[in-house]
Amino acid sequence: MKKKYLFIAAIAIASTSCNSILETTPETSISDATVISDEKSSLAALVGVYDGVQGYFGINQLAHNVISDNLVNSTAPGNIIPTLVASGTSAFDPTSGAGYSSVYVAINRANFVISKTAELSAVSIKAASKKQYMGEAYFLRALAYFDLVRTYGGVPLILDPTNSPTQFNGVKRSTVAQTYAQILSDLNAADSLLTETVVRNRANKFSVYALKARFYLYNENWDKAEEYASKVISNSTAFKLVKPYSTFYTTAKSTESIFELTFSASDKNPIYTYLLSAAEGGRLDYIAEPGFVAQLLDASKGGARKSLVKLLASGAYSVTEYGNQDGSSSLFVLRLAEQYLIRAEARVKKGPPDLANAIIDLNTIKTRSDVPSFVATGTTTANDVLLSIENERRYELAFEGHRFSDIVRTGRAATVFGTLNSLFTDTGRWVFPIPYKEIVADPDLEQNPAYK
Amino acid sequence: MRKFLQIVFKMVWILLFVFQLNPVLAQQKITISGTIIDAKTKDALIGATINIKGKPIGTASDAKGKFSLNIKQALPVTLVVNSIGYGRRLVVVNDTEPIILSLAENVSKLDEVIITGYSQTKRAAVTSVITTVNAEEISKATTTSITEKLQGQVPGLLVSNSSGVPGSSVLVRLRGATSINAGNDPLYVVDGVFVNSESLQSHSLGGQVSNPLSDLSADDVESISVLKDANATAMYGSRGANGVILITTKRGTKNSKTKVTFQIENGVAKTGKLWKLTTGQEHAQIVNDAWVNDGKSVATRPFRSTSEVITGFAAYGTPEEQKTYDRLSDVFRTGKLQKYNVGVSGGDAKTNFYLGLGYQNQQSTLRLEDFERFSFQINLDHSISNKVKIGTSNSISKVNRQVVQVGDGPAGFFQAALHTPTFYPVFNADGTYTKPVAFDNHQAILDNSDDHAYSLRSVNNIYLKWDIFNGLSFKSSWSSDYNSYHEKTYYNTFLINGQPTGKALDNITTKQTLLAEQLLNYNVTLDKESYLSFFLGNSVQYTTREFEGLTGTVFPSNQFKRIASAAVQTATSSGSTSGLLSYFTGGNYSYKNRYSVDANVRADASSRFGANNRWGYFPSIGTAWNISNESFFPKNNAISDLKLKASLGYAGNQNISDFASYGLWSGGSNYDGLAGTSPSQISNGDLKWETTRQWNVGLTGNLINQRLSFDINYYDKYTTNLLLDDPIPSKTGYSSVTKNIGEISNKGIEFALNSVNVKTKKFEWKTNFSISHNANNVEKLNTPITSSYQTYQVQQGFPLYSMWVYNYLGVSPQTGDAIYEDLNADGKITVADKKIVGNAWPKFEGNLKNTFSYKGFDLEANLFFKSGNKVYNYTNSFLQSGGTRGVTRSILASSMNYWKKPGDTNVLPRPKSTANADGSFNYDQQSSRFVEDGSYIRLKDVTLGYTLSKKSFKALHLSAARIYVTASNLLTLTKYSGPDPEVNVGAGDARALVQGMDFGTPPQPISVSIGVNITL
Repeated sequence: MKKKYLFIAAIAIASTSCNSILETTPETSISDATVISDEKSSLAALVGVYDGVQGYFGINQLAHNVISDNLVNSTAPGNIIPTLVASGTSAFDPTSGAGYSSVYVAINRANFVISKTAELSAVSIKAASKKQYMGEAYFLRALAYFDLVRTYGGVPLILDPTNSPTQFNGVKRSTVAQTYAQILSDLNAADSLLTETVVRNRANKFSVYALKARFYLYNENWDKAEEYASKVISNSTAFKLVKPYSTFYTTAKSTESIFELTFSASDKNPIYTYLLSAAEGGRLDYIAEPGFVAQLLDASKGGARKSLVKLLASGAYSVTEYGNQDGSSSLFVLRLAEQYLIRAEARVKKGPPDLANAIIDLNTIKTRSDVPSFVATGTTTANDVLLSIENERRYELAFEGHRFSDIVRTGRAATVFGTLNSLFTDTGRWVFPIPYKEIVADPDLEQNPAYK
Repeated sequence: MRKFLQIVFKMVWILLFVFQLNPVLAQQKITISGTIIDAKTKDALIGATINIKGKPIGTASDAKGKFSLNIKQALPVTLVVNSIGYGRRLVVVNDTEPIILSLAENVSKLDEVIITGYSQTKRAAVTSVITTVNAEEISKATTTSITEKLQGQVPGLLVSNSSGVPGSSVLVRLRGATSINAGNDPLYVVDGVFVNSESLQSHSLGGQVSNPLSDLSADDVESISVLKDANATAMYGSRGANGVILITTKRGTKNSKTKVTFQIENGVAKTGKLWKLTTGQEHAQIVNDAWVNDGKSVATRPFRSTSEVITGFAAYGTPEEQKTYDRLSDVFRTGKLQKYNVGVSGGDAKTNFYLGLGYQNQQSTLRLEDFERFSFQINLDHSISNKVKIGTSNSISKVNRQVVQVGDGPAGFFQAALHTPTFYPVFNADGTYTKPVAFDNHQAILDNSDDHAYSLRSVNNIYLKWDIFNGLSFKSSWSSDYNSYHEKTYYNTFLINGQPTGKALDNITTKQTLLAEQLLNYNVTLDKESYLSFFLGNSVQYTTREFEGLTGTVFPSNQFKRIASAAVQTATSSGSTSGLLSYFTGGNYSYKNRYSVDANVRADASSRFGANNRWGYFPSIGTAWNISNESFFPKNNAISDLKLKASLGYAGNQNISDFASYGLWSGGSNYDGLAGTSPSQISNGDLKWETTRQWNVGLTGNLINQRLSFDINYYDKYTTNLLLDDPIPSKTGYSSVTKNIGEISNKGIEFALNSVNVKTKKFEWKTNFSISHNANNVEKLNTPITSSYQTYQVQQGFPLYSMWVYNYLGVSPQTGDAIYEDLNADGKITVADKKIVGNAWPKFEGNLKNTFSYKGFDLEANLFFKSGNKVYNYTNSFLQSGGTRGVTRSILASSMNYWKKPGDTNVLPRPKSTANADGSFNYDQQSSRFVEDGSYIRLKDVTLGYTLSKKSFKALHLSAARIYVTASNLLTLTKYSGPDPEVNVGAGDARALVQGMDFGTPPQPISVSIGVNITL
């Protein structure tokens, strides 16, 4: 009898002393040691970079729209140019920090692809694929840093994949010029690696040209801006303006699109939730600014671009550009109309100015939206053309996050925004604050002075 | 070390074997039998132990006090008779005639053997701080979980409801909070099974989280022991740091008549005070004022005649045209409460059992929230022989919840009712639902909500106990806690979540913990004066968690609700596992019932930690001195017991995600229909458990003929190696890494007093009073951690749950603008000017219970009090908005008292949404204006009962019957401006760093119910 129980007890002890229960493995994740090992895994990691760009681009773009005079918070419609706060606690500054940390998530992913794919041997990846994937990653990294620098100013430059939390301790903010230099270096790398095959939702040589055109515009290298914009515009087989205007955002990958981020019902673009009315499944956090709406509805200004807004029962107007209620609307990163307007501006500003051709570019855009052409008279000055281009950019690229940067880069923010919110007469306010939590977590990171 | 322990284990087994193989001399068989009775009452004594002196042979008396013992030795023999609460008696037996033995009751219960967790020791020798409450002592209020009943009953145990919805989460903190990220919930052990206390809810309900302990019926519980000090918790090793709550369910008594009890209870619940909102006209007025103050043209003001059309500027009609629509009273109701319980218990000589069957149905006062539980308990013990006993405990329950997203988000039901401006009608002229703001129409939710959760719980234990020889026993225990939570939701097209074509969710989360424990216990009275007990054991625990989620969208019509009909169907599944291997041992030695000392140590290895730090060791030591047993201590009734205790030890916390130490890449980072991967977590191979060092000194005593007893304890806890999601620079591409960093302390004092004030034959009056204080402080933290609501921050030098806001100084009488403290005096109000202004911890909290009985009547009243805790009134922050939120949110009536002209004082700021010159805002600024004193005194429950006289129920063939009325939350005294200071919406915050936040949380209901208890 006793032996029987002793036996049971012995079995019990033996069976509960095993060690194997301590060796558990995660089911939905893999260890990071060998994650990019061949062509297939390199592509998967590259797809992850696009996913990362999807993750920050919409919110960054929305923040730029809100801080400018095109979109207002429906909670406080009287507050046109909101006062930015670093703490992220004010509903009247709903920019959510403009996505600072999300941009670096995308950059880290790109760094992994660039560094690990470069190490892959010819056996594990085809040479063409290697160039393609690395080129795309370089382009996306350039785009990410471009969005950072226009939002916050110079930022810490991280070019290697992160392997430890302390790896980049001591890396401080670079200057604006250093950040732009890195962007150009990445764009040049992408330029040399990518092909001219146009896939509108993946980076290719034309996406690089278009971003370079924007890069040179911001950096006031007017000849280069004109040169790269022309490279895109001249490929008229691939790129054509669509008509009516609304076609580019109601259809994905229209011929006007140079590079867009596509979404689907299972991979949603959340921006519609901010912009659609409650009846359409959104929260209507933001509405089109009434003064701007009046201009869009004006046949001599907005023309066909009146389709961007929609009258609600209350009398306010909502934005329709990202209006697919299943979240499948694209985000437009680079599109042909912008290239025309870049070239127009560059042609006015270059030495010597080429006003005639600038006006042709400007009128290409105006005509497409059924707006009367800009007609030069004897008294027309370069500034008249520039002001018309500035307004045209406002209508044409209304909710694509350009307005704030356009007014800031031309030095007109005190004039244009300062009248709406006197705090903007301070040039220190011409950049976003870096979100407070980032400053706390990173001792190397210095806040923009106006927000200290 | 592990190897070493295994060797020790094997040696013990070899020794045992040698003992067992001792040849027993062949003798003739003799049977000794008899009856054990109480010397005074002559009643049979059940469970007295009868042993042959010096031999490992013995038995116990049955329900009639009878025993029989087979021995293999010649007479005479000496029997040693022991019974709990009685003196020990030696009897010499000369023949086999049945004998009658009387035992005198022991005045002190010091010799009673106390079994707590793994250890068994005499009451006198206990050195740990453990509060045990019996089922009949805890609150009579009807709650869904046993934890809610403990509010105020155990000094040092903070229990706070997060909302008035039955079955939703309850905050439980024992002796403060020792962790920031790794969880602060105590370990719950039900009949030896470590049960899950983490909600398996996956579908967000806007700050409302289910309480998994509501799966267990409080009516099957016999007693609860709360293990507080390190000496008691160290034997739970890496999970003991937050305290341990041992729950014991009812069991039958051997040799007793089968007893059947019924309980029937019915009641109602109502809400008390609610929020007061502006009228439609007031709303219009204040919004127009804010518009003009923002510097906008009067012509474009929102509330103007609809005939004044201006492009893009909405017009809502003149203020005078506005009507007022009440939504709040639509969403509340009188909730019904029903409870039925049947308990059957009994036993024969070898077997005893308990069967419990329960049904409870509780409607929330907030509509669309129901809690329904079917519970089943079966406990069985069977003696195979004198020495071998097997048994099982099983709790099986099914909980059906109707749920609704309460707040925090456009689909929030309660928020829709509270936050939709009152001037909007509920229906359009054609009878369709209006949807004027981001929130769903509350009536649309009422009519269309279809959201349910079903939990299935099975807590099972089976054990075998073998008394190997006198005092040495072996117990093998095998347990499982199976928990599944099935959420089924359908949103039709009338709801935001269902637009445009309907959406259904079907999520199943299951968690199962398997546990095997082997335990050796040895108790021996070495000589008359010293007593030794010892235990040695090991346990293996394995937990799996699985999630399967289905989503269906694009339904053909609102009639089709199951995912099978959806055109787009997506599925996801995930899972994780963790393991814990432990060895533990301890011993207790006491001398002359005066001095005792014990020591425990546990070694734990967890799969969650880095390979470099698998094993953790948690030792403890405790001592006790029974001063009243000293010879110098006067023997009188003024002070009959006095005991001084002290303990010191270490316990751990390993409550982090299963793979927190790994560097990981995850899938799901998809783009353009391609599957993508991305890095999701940065590795930390050095990750290990948190360690809490705790020391405790305490004094307990019985005074004045045992009419007054007290228990006072002081403790000091210090936690190091905090498991923390330490924020790291975003430039790395990660936001945080789980690290062992930071230190936190808790120091406190607890006091309990129990008094029998009056005791006569007919009348008795008892008072129980408890009070406790805890001071929590974050001693070391590199980087402050801000909560998801941005209003709470964990900072070095401040307690957890600290509210971090701008310090509001009032309104400038000249300009009407708000003034905030400019901490760095730079003329700007920036985030650098935020500071900690208070925290959610009470300075003290306690309970006063008075119980009266007179003839058949009994009356009990629990008065709970809490003082010094702050509440962040987030509702005010949103709704006391001075019109700055325009037509998007309702406005509290209190908002109308705003600055109108220079010289106005005691007012709210001038309505304005644009920034002031210093960059601050009059209204949208999370400031100390919303930090309120949340102290309160609450008449938690009052129960009046009447037990029918023997005569009246004899006629009904019953053995006992009692009818009662019980009322909860009848009265609350507080200065708090919201409806209820006992709130928290932060339960959904991943790291539970937010406590004491009120954001439109349904208040605790006032309920009254009537019931009967019948015993057949």
